[in-house]
Amino acid sequence: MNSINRFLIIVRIAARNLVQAPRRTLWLALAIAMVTALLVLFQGISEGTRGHLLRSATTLSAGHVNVSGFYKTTPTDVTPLIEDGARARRIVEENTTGAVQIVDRQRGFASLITAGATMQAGVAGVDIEDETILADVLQLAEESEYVDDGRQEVVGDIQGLSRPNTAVIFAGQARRLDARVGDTITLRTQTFRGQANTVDVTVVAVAQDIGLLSNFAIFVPSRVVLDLYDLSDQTTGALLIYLEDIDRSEEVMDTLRAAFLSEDYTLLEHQPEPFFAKFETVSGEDWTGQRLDLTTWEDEISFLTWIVTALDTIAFLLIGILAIIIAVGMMNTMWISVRERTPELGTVRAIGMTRTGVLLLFAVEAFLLGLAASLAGAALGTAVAAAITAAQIPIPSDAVRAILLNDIFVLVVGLKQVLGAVIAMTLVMGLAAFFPAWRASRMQPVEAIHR
Amino acid sequence: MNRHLERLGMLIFIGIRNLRSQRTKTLIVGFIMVFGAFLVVTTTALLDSIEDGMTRSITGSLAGHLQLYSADAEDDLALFGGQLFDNQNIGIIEDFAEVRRVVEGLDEVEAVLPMGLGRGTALTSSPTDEAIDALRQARLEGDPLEIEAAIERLQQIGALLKTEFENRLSVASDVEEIDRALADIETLEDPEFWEPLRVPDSGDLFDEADARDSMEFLSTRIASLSEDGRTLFLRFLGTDTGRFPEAFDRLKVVRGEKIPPFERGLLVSERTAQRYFKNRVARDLDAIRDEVEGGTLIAENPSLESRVQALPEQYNRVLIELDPRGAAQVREALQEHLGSEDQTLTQLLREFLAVDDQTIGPRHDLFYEVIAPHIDLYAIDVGDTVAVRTFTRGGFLRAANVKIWGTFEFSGLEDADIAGSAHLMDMVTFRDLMGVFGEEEMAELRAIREDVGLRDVQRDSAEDELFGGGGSLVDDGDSSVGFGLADEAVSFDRDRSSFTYDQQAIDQGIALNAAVILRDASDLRASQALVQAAVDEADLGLQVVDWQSASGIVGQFIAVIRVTLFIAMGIIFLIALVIINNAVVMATMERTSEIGTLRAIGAPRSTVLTMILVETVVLGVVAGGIGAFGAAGLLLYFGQVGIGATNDVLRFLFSGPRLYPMVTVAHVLAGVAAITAVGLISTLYPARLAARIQPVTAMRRGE
Repeated sequence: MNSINRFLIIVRIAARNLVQAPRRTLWLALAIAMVTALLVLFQGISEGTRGHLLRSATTLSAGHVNVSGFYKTTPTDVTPLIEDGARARRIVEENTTGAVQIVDRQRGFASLITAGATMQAGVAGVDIEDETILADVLQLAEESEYVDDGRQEVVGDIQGLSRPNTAVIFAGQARRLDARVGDTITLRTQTFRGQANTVDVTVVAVAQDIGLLSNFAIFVPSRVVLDLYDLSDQTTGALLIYLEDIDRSEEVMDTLRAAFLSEDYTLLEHQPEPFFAKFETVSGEDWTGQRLDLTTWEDEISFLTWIVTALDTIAFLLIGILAIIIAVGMMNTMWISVRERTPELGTVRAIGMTRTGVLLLFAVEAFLLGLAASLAGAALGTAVAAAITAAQIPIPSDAVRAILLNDIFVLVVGLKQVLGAVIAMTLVMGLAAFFPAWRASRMQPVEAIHR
Repeated sequence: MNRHLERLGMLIFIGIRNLRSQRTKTLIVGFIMVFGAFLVVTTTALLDSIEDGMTRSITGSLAGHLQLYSADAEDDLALFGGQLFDNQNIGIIEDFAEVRRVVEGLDEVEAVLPMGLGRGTALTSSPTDEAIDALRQARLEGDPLEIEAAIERLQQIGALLKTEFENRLSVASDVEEIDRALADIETLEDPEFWEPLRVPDSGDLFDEADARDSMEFLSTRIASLSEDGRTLFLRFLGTDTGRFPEAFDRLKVVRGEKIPPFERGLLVSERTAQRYFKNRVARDLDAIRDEVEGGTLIAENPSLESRVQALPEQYNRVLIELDPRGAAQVREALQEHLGSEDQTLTQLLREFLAVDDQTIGPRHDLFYEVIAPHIDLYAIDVGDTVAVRTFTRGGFLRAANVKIWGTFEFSGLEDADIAGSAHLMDMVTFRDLMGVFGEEEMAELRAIREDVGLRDVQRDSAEDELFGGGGSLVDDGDSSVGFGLADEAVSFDRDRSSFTYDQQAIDQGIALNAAVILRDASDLRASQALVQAAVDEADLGLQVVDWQSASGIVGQFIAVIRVTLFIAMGIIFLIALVIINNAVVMATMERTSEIGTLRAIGAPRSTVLTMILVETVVLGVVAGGIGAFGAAGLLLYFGQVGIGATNDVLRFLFSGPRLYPMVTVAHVLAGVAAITAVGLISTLYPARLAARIQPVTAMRRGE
């Protein structure tokens, strides 16, 4: 009898044993399933939040790789711009592979003023003809979403940004500012030098909110930002590069760093922070002129990744504690199983089953239980996650909305995560049973028969 | 009675014996119970400590116990920022005096204070303005050396301006404007320009004509080119600054003095001053020294390390503020300290700022001894008068000159970011900056309107509509917003610029919200209902909220943490219940013969039931006790040592850099009780099973 057959027999015995002790098996299985389902749900929230964060950030403010720069006219000031935008763009185009799109954006920060209210937001100056990804990702909102008694239809067109002094805002902002398509908003900036410039823009479209982050961004034609800051159109704010494969971001960034260095540009040291966090440091550095700063999307949203880390930590702790508890339960069950079947063990050993065989017998029982229960739990978790996401349940609390960066609960369950959960649970259960199984294997046949 | 006690005692005795004989089950269930009790005590004690810290931070610094604001408000009051982190529109409290009368009339209320949160900017004076002033002063005093030094400084500034504008050429949109500026700047390179200024002010109108022209050129053309004062963002709380320290008695003046009674002014948050107004180099040296003396090694802490590495390159923040004399003194001191002779000040500073674990202490001392006196250690400081600018809701500019009398912090909350988030401003200045009118002024305006025949003006935009918005109280010269009519169109009878006022002026006017301090804050809900009733009866049109709702997203955060914790605990207990149940059932099944025997010798069902339950209770108390006391011990230890906050989120939760958790008897008892309850619930079913075992089975098993 070869090993495989022997193993299969053991599996069958183990399965039969499980079925024959339904009460204790079922309760334990239930616990394992519940914990696995919980694990899957947590992973779902974490992935959902992370995915959402990525999508918002790369739509609103950053590309997969970003080339931006700081220009200092005096040793103490700082303006985020790249002096010769065309040249920088050429270098990027020549040295980047696998790019789906490269866009030029101006970056500013302004107060948005209407008769109804005032609010602050980041202002992204774009060339809408080039921004095909943006035009795809931004979904326009129906008027009723931001105007009381508004029409149940989409009003406005993003392509309106090709006209001068226009703006695309988000539904939450429209509500707050009491603005609709066709209304005028005054943008006012206050530069570091205390000077205030204003530009009036007309709203050409209102987009659906992208979670909470879209509250802090609007889109205007590049010219508007240039006017707000009295800048020449030779300059650009940043070059955003979108890649086919987002995982190549760091590699592309490194290539570009080398390329820019070889073209005699000076680069800032890579700091994994968003660009607005660097102003103070740069303003204190004693140089003038242009220095470039290259970052990946992860750097630009690093101020928010703590959320995902926190969620993962909580999940880890909770699931860890639960895993300990059910592992203890598994150990107990195994002990009892061993004790109950001591006579049987004696017989089986007496007729020639090896120690390893006995060990395997119990271990496989635990593995099978773990596997079956965790698969069931994973399936349940996946189903619940899908149901919650499909139901688009609104998040009740402002604080939770701020944490999850979204208005509705979105859980994303991936195959890799589910498999990981199942494997982890199964392994834990198997390990828990190891000690009792080992003791069982050490029992002498004679002892067993006598019991 | 005695018999019952005896019986109980015996059952306990038997229970203990049974537990010992079923070692495995006891260990398994016991372990889970120890673990569970440990968790309950640890998490509830930590949560209570965190909540306690936040409560104190919020109520003791800004919120008081309850807050009042307009019942018609569009948004909710959010003392620490609303959802869009913008100024919430919470309406207006019309007549604060009436509110004060009604609410302070209640026995439960100790004090009611008017409040309003606002945001604005302060522009610090530029080095150019200061240099021009210095020249003017030197000429008046007639000191040739001082005059030379001042002229040298201005020439330095001229050179820097030239470089700056030449740099601007490549990025600015209006090249002609830059060229004009450069032409002006080049005037400063002409020695003939400075001739009339080199002599002291003779006081003679005719002789001084040329000098006057030069000074005017400097003050108008050159000064406007170099608006390089720093813009500081201010968040302020307008309130009755006279009564505030009494009502919020944790307030403590750190530097300077309190705002004198009935005077205008600003009391700056010491925390904000240290974090945002202080020279960056000083701030970094402070922080590095704190960390190193607190026991952290630079090499072990990545964020500290990167701060240390970035520091030398910030030397310009010191260099640029030194005048020639100060520079010489600093150079000398550094050369001595570093033991090097020929280096330039730039090199010396760079070397000096490259600190490590050993050198940070002595260099920090030297910095404050020698360098700090020669620079502006704080961008705005005690004694300064700053021009605070705000924009009204309609988007128009308002400004006021405000004197900084001192800095403050709240005792026990020195390290809490929340507590130090706003500066205190007197109520009168606040109202001026907000550009919002009260009833009296509205009446005046309407009268004027009738006289002048204007269309209807709205309260919020009244002054703006009349003055077109350029209406600053202070003539700050080149107001770069520049639109609007002349602001002497209309003047009110009341003299706005009077510096002092009285309690009536504070009370009889507008507030945005009001803080209520209670004598006894133990039953917030009841107090809240009482105040709301009084307010409704007097028809004041206000809503009353507790401090937690008023704190906006921050308060919600705490609630979210508590809910999450309860859910997590619930899940853990549920699973524990299942496992314990499983274990006990299996153990009970094993004791079938033993129990059968018991029944056979006459023990009633109830005794069997009770026996099993008592076992669980004993185990729960003992195991739970071990877990709970273990947790308490750990918490007591950390209560002394503190738990460090490793990032901003934890700092916020801990209300400071360290959390000192507190554990009480209630926590321990809760832990033991909770886990015993779980044990009991899980044992109910197996106990009933056991009770149903027939005596016959004992004999059948034959063991």
